[in-house]
Amino acid sequence: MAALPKRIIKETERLVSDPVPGITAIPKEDNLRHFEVFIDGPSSSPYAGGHFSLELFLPDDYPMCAPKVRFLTKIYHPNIDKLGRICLDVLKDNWSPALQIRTILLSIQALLGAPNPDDPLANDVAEDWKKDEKKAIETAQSWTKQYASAKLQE
Amino acid sequence: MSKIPRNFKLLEELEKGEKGLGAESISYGLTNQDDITMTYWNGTILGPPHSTHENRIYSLTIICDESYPDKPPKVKFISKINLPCVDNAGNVVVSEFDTLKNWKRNYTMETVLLELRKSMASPANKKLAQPAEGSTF
Amino acid sequence: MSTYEQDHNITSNTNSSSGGRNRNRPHQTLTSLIESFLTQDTSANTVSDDREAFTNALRTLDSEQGSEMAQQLLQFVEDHANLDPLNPSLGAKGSQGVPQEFLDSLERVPISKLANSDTADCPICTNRFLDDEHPLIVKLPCSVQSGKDHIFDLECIGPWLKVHSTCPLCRFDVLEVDRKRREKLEKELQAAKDADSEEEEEGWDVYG
Repeated sequence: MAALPKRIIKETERLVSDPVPGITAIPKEDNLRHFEVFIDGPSSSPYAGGHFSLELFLPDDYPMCAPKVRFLTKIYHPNIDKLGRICLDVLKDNWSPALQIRTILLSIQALLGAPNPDDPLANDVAEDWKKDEKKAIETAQSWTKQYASAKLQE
Repeated sequence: MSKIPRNFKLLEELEKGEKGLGAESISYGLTNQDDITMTYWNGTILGPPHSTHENRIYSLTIICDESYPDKPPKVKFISKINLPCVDNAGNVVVSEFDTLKNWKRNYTMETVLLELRKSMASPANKKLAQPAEGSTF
Repeated sequence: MSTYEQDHNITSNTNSSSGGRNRNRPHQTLTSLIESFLTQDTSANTVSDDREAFTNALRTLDSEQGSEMAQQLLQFVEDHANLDPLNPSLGAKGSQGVPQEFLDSLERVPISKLANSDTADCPICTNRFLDDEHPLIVKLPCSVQSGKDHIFDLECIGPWLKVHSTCPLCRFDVLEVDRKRREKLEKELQAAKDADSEEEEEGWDVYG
C-alpha cells in the first residue's frame, strides 16, 4: 500500500493530541484512512445527550476530494438518511482542499444543531419536520435516547 | 491504491444502482431500504437477445456479508434457470463461475450480474432449454 | 517538501509527457487519453455509454489475460467516476477546471516577499513553505477581490485548479477574476483603437 501522505499523518496526530470537544476520530489499525468517529449531539439540540457513531474514509485523491462520512447510529434528522448518508454541501459541491477532517466533523456537529428540512435527504423526515416541527423534535429526542445513548455503546 | 472499506464501496455501488448509471441490461438495489449494514441485495438480469433467455427477466438475491469485497458475494437465482454454474437450488456455484472463483476486490455486484448475463449468452449456453418462464427455485 | 503529487505517488502530466522514455509512452498516452475522455464535457449520455463500453472492454481484457494494466485502468475508471457529468451531485457543480496556461501564468511569490515567511504554510499540504529549499509559491488572482493573498504551493494548487476553478480558501472563481481583468483590458484596447481610428478618419477628412 502506498505510504500515507504527510498531510493525513499530521491531521491524524492533531486529532488525537488536540481533539475537538465532543468529537473523537481514531484511525483503524488495518486501514489508516478509515476512521472510527464519535460526535456528541450539541447541547441545545434534540440530539443532546446522544453519542453518535460514524465512519469516515479518506479516498486516494483526498484532499482533492472530500472525505466520505456516514452515520452508523440511527438518527432522525432531515439531512441524514436511513443508511446514515449525510446531505452537507461541504461533503459534496462545496468541498475545498483547505478543509480538513476536523472542519468536516465540526460541520456535521453543526448540522445536528441546525437541521435544514428545506434541503432534505431523508424526504419523509423532512416532511414530518415541516408539517409538525414540535413532534419531529420529540421523535429526534426519543431516537437519540433509544439509539445514541452513550451507555448503549459501552 | 488504498483499500476502500466495505461500507463505502457498497454505498458507491448503491448510488450507481439507484441513479441507474450502470448498464441497462441489469439492475440491483438493497432488499430493505433501511438496512444500515447493506447486506441483502436484489438483482435482476434482462435475458440476452438471440438466446433462450430472450425477453425474460431473472431475479436474484445477492448477499454481501462482512467479508465483502475481500471475498465474493453469495449469489442466488430466484427465477428458475438452466445454466451450468447454477445448482438445482438456484445458487451460483463459486467454483463453476469464474468471476466469483477468481474474485478481485475491485469487482462489483454489477460485474457479477453482467458476467452472468454474458455466460447466459455464450455460444455454449445460449441454446440450453429453459424452465417455464416465471417459475422460481 | 513533500508535494501533493509525491504524497500520492502520481506524476505530473507535464513532466511525464515530455522526455519520457519511449517504452513508457504508449501507457502514458493511453492513460491521458482515458483521462481526457473521462473529464471531457460532451453530451452526458455518450460519455456514460463510452465509459460503460470501455469498462466492459477492460473487464474482458482483465478476465481473459489477467492483465495488471487492465486492472489498474479499471480502478482508474472507477476512481474517476466522480467526474461523471451525468452525476452532478458527485462531480462538483461548476467543476470546470482552468487550462494549463492559466496555471503557468499564476503570479509567483518569492519566499523573500512572504509575510510571516517562517510560519506560513500551504493550506493544502499544510507544510511550511520554508521546509522546501526551493518552494514554488503562487498567488491566486482572488486577492484582487478579497484584498487578501491566498497563496499555495504550485504543486498543490495545480491538481485542484485543473478540475475546479475556485480558490480553496474563499471559493472565488479565479477564472472570473481573470475574465473581468481581460474584459477591462479589451475595453481599454478598444478605446485606444477607437481613438486611433478617429484620428485616422480625421486624417482622411483633411485629404479627402
